Amino acid sequence: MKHYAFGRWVMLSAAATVFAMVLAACGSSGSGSGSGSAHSPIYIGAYMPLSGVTAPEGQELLAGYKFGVSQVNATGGIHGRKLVLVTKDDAGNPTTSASVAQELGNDSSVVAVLGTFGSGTAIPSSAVLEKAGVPNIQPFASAPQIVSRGFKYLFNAYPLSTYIDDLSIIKCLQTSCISKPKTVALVYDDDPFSIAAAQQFQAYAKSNGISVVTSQKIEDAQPSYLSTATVLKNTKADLVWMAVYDDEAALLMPEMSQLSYVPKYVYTDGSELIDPPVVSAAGKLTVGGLSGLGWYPGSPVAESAAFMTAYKAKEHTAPTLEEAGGYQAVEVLVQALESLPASDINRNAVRNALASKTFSTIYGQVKFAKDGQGTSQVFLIQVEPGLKQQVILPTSPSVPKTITYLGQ
Amino acid sequence: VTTFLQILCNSVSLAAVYVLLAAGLTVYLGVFGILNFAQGDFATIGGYVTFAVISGLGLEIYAAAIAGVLAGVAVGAVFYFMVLKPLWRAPPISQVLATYGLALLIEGIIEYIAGTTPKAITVSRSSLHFFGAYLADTSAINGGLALALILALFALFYRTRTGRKIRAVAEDAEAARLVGISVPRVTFLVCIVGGTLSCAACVTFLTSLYLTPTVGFSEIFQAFTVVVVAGLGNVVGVLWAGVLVAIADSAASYFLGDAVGQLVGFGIVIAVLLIRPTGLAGMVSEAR
Repeated sequence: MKHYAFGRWVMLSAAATVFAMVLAACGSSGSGSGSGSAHSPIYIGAYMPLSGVTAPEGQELLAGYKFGVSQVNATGGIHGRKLVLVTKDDAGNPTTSASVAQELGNDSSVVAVLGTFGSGTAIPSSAVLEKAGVPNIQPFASAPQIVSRGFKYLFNAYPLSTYIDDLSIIKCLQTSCISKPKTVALVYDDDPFSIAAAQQFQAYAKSNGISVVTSQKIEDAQPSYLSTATVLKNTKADLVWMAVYDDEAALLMPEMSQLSYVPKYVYTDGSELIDPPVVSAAGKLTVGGLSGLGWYPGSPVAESAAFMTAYKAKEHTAPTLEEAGGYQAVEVLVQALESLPASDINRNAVRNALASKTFSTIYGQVKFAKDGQGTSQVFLIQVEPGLKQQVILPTSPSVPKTITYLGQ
Repeated sequence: VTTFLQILCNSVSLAAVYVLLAAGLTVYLGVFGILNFAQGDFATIGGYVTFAVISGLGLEIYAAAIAGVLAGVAVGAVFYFMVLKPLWRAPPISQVLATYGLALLIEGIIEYIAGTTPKAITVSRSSLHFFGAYLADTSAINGGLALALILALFALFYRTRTGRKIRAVAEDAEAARLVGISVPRVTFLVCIVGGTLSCAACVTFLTSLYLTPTVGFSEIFQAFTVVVVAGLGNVVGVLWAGVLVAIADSAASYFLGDAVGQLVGFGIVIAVLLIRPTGLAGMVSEAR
């Protein structure tokens, strides 16, 4: 009798394990079969981290994709054909991302793929999609390596991290839009996008008489960054330059504040200072903080303003950078699809349209270069009192800028 | 000196996380011989319950955390019926798989109900300031809470009749049954105590971390390190071992960088196993 009960419970436990795995992978869904006929749906692959450390960003990216697709479908789709997203969870894991990219590549009904969040997964998965001949738009891969491989099917929508730095903090220092710091502390994640940007800024600092007092590589999903905050405090650096993920900044910045370390400037290569949880947690480091971005909610681009209005009307909240990036990737793909005859929507035709057209998006006019990198604007913004954002760069003669120092 | 003091202060919030998780872990290991991979997820449940109470009723964190800790009673009961009762005498591999399955199940359910977007609450960012070092108010309170709970656990185990029964069951459940101890009742109580202790760690999550479905699981290895250093079933040992591991973690992160800090736990476990295996004496006796 006891034997029977034991077996039953072991089976129940095993079933629970399987059930949990299914729940964890609940973002995945099958594609169904697409015939490619005149009225059949157009299947668009999409993969992103829906589980794991970067799941929040992945969920937001998916929300942006869904919002873009729902807008297109609400107006009749592409040549009367509805768009259907075939979503896969890559868990933020390079191996898994390559595996799900292969699944999407093997699915002949998928005509194009919307990519993932982060260079660490976009680099291996885009190689798989290249081999499968699937046009893929990567919305958040900003490591320079992503476009250095001569790929023909890769279209990288977000500006490279090095490009963002070039046109934001470095340009700002070159044009003296903030006073030149004597010392800088670098904090970067163990990720290709941030390592490349850190190396570039370190080289710039050294050749321009700015002393790099520390260079801190941090790991994700840590319970605390107090040790890093302590190192930063002890250096007394004028400028803390950061290229980290939102969840890391959301711990590190309050911890710097907690130690009463308020440098003259904090710069982030990323969306931290437009991310509400970070902004609400960062305390003394919020007002006066600088961010280099490819898009921000107050962007003057007309398409962006229209997107903000439509998004707020439907979702009753402002979009995050990830949601906007997902939407922008859909914008690009939809315009490419619309440029094709209804009878000629296939992978190669979509690839050629993406490579040759200029697209009007919330990032402004986008044209992909031969290496797959899209042109884009870059903004340097600063958080003002009242948590509004002012644009420092690009400069506008009609709007004089008043730089706020941290802790003012 | 200031830097050294600051490293010690930095360790306080980490130590509170490690000690509370390790306490639940060591109770289950010491009494049942089961390594519960879901222990960190118990704390996650407590965190989400606390967060829901704060959001719904607007209570202050430490008042709302009472609900989170009470959730530990339900969590302990689930552990009793789902893992302990059917698998107490099962091979260790079955136990490990079952607890790992329970961890995945909890994470999946939380993800389904609450989503993966991190949850955070606004807490006081004020600090105590002494000799140039800063200690967050919340870290000091969490440290005190961990200390109080460990002392209460020690009192329960070594100063009460119930504690004697628990230790008797841990020593030899069959002999305990023969002398009239209700083994099911005692083991159920131990499950509740372990669940409650882990759920108490929810306070440390909410004041110093963001809540995500996997936050508890990601801390379980460091908790296991603390248990190994303390010695299996050594309740008070968990306290000093948690502080030691937290200081080592903070110091390594400060002097050698964050990536090296992550490896400290592995290094400590290997060192203890090689140099002072008596830290594992309880585990050895349990496996006899």
